[in-house]
Amino acid sequence: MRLSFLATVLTAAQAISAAKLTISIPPSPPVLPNPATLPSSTHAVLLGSPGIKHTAPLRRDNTFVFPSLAEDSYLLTIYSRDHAFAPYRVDITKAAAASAQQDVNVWWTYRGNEWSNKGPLLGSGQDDLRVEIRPTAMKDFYQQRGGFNLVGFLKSPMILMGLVSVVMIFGMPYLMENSEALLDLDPETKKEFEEMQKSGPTAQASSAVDSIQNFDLAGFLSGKSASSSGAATPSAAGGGAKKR
Amino acid sequence: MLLPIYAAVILLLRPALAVFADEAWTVDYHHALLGLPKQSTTFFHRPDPSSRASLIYTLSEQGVVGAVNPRDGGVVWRHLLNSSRDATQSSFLRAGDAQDAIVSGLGGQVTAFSAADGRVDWQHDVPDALVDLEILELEDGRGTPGAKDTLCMSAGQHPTVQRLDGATGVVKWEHKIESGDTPYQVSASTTEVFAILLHKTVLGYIKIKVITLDPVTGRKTDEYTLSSENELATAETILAVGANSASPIIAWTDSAYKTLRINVIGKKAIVDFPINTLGGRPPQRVTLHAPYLTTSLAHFLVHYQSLDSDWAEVYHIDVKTGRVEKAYDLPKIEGRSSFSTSTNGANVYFTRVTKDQVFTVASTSHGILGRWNVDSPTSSLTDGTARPVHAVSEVSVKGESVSAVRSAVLLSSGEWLLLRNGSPQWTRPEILAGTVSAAFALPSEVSDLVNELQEEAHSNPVSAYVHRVTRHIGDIQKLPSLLTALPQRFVHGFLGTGSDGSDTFGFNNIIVSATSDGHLVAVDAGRPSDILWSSAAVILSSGQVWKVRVESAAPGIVRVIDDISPMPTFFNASTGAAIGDDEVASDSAVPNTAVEVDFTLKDGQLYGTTASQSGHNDLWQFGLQKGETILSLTPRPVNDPVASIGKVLGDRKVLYKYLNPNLALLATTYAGQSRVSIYVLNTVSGAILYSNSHRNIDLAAPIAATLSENWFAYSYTAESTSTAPKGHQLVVGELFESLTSNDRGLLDAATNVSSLASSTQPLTLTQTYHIPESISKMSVTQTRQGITSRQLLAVLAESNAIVGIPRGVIDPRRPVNREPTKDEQAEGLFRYTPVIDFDPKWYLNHRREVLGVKDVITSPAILESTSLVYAYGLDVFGTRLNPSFNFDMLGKDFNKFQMLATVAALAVATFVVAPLVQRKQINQRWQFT
Repeated sequence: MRLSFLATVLTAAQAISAAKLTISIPPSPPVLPNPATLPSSTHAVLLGSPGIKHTAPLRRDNTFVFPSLAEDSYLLTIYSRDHAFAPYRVDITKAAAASAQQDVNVWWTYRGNEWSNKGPLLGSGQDDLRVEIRPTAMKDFYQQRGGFNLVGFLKSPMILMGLVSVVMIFGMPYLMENSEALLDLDPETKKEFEEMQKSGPTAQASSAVDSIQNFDLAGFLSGKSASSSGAATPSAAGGGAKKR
Repeated sequence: MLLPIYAAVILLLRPALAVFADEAWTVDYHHALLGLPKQSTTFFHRPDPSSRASLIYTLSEQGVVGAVNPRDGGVVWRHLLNSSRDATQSSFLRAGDAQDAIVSGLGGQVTAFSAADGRVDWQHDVPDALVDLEILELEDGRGTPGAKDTLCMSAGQHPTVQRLDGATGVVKWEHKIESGDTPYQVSASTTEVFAILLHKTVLGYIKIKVITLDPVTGRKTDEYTLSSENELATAETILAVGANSASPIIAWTDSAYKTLRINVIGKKAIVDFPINTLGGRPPQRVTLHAPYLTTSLAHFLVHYQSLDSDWAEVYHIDVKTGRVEKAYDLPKIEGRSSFSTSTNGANVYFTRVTKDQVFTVASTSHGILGRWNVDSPTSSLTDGTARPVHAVSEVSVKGESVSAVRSAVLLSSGEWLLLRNGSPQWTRPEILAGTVSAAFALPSEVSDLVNELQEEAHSNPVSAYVHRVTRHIGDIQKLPSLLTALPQRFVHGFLGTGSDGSDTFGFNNIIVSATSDGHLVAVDAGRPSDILWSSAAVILSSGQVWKVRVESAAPGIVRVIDDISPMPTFFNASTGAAIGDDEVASDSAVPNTAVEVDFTLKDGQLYGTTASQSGHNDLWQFGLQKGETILSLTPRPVNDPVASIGKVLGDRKVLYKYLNPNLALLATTYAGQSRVSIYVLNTVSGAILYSNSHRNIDLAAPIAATLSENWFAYSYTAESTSTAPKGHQLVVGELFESLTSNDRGLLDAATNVSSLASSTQPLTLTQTYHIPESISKMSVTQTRQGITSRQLLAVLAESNAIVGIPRGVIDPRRPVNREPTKDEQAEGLFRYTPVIDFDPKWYLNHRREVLGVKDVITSPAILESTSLVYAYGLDVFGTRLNPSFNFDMLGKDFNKFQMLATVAALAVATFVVAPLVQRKQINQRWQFT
């Protein structure tokens, strides 16, 4: 009995000389609705001055316990298989010059910034501190394949352009005929329009294309004029159609 | 404006790096290992006392505590216990009867785990090394109901016995052992706690001393010394100190195994039994198997092992009088067998596993209650290559007979095998957990063809033609089988189910691993679930660790260099057969005309030596400063092909890489200072090409380094200073001939350069990044031609992961403090950020947890896009990587059905449209408007 009492005194004495930090993981939906699902390999690491490192495994009650921490400035990292946690800074300092008590402060900290650049205070206490830390995100390990998606396929600019040109090619003649019927153009305007189409830039371009495709080398060399070769175009075009 | 470009860059990078969901569990393979289970720390236990389902718990030689499902051999949970102290230390694992917690002890730490999921209940640090750990089974009303207390004994200057509360781990009482004797074990009966000490006499013999403690207060109630005269020279012949049995005993023998002496703890009498050798050789090893429950019958089995046979005797103890008497013998059987104890209520059963049979007997009589043949033609147990080392068993009893026995047997080949009524259910290749070195070996079938082709190329035309014709005739003979296999092959290829066994892409390399206990084990990366072959390469004395290196010597052949034989030994990678020195073709591709310079680490100093007739001459020595010691030396890999000697910039100009095959990265530290220096050396001339020094470094944290092509990387953990942040940092440097594009600097005019003659210094660019966790080991992917961009492979010990960091992210030419120019964007460079967060998509292991990886090796496949990766240490993990996406093979994203459907649709469309077009054309001719 006396011995066990002595042991209690001893542990109490240890508690005075070193601070205790308890980190608990509360349920934090939607990232982690139930902390009991965390794998048992989840652990927290306090990195102190060179050579000082404390590791605490996850306990049954979803906490990490660092029972005795000496005065130092620690980097707290929590490693879990499926969840990402932010880094934190833990400072254990003497409360007052003469006092045996210690202040425990936990702040946010930011990687790539100087150590003095502290974030908001997460918790502070004397000798014994319990803070709650929530995961920031789920880890997503897998890249999904961009499988075949009809809507996405149709949305692609190439396909859209192709579809537009198909519509133009097949749809335009009908559209023209229908529009003629609808608008009921008078024959003069229609004639004018057809004239315009024939002598329009597309017609010219097509005749130019035709002239290149059916380029009469012998005729060119024998000094035939361009106009005569142009006159030969309809028959050449007919030949082309036959080939097709 | 720039955000879309970032997004585009990230999009460009992403698909090449990530693990695809459909490849994740098929391309990679993983053995979640525990290590070789120890007999004393392995048992069946029910994690939930109300359910009948039990798990196998073990604490292995590698210091891993875990639970295995006996149904399928899958790991339920496991922890790598902090084994920073001596590896040969004793470890303990105990479970109280009907408890949902198990207690482990290793080093100086006692930890209680939740048996079902491996969460920690409590931890307790003993002042010094732990000597013994027991669960106190007695119920004295003081223990918290449900959780049984733990007794632990520690050694050191002040040996103590402590009783820890089962629910919280708080010390209930502590008994200091002041007598100066060596603590040996702790044991408990239903009423008392015994501390067993070894008292060294003046003559150097050992006497066993027993201290009786009150379990409630921990006060000493009695003390006596057993008159074990002059027969105990060492503690090794003490067989067992039973704990938690109805009547705990101490048993020991003399060193010649002539007499077995047994003392029931608490009684002073010693009973002697002469050891009966049954007309054979004397035993070499004697072990004792007893139940671990206070409610069981006080019966135990003594197992004798001679060189070639095993036998056993069963003894009964009268609990009231303390009388020990022999009950019956179990017959001698040639070959090795293993015994295990199981309990069911008060009944005790002993199960014997031999190489072809499993028997179960009750402790009360020698009648065999169950007998099964081991029916496995493929197991290494039955074919005689392996023998059972130890076993644990669970029996189910129906009435008077045993209806089923499950035995988890450790074989001498390092496989852990579960036999259910004699039929193997699963095997776990635990031998691989002790891998110290591994190497890829190219499959020899591929090299056979290469050899034949080479033979044709190098002989005269006529004989080459004859050779070729004969080769083709040989090939034609294979045609029928090829044709019959063709439909199946099409179906497999089309559905993507299974492989047809051929290895056109070179993915099925064989990996040969050497383990610390002297085994060579080969795994085929194409069929990683089973071991290809396994053999004991050397015989080691107990406790000796094999210091060995495995290398790929030639296609299909590995070279093993160890500290036992002076010359390297060669093994065939596909069969495991040893190969003579003369059969191995010389693989030295370097013509022996130039002066060879070797560099070696000798007595902590780095030397460069030349070989000449007069022996080795020191060419140079790395001048360490006072107090400077070498931490690590990382040479550039021997096989490190580089496709391009320059980097093409965005404006089509070229920046020339400093490519020197003789590079090494040296890391040093200074005694008493937290400082690390890094040097890049030319190993021929010994010149320092680059050096850097970092202060405020945590030397207890790992410092990993690697070197490849013209770049290097290293990582360390730094303490904060006024300017630097605290945390883990990664430094990447790249060496260039000159930093001006289209300029080769001083090497411009030279066609041949000697490292010894010229003193060209490269220009080095470095960048440092803050990384979220420390890297314990680094490696670089390898491909056949080096065209594919490389990935830096980093082992993250804390996350139990391996990440592949793309080269583009750690390019030291990332623009700092400004946005990249158009040319830099075209090159794929993006703005420097001081932090690199390891994207979960970079994790090669994705959701798997790869525990205790010590090294990662890489090997090229036949396909240029692919690098094979194999990680070992404790777990074994392997995968294939495509750092630049699989540009030379169809991936799983290639939809064969879609392709066929498109072709079919086009064919149908053609048939439908053709008459229409024809009609239209005819109409065009004949119709005039």
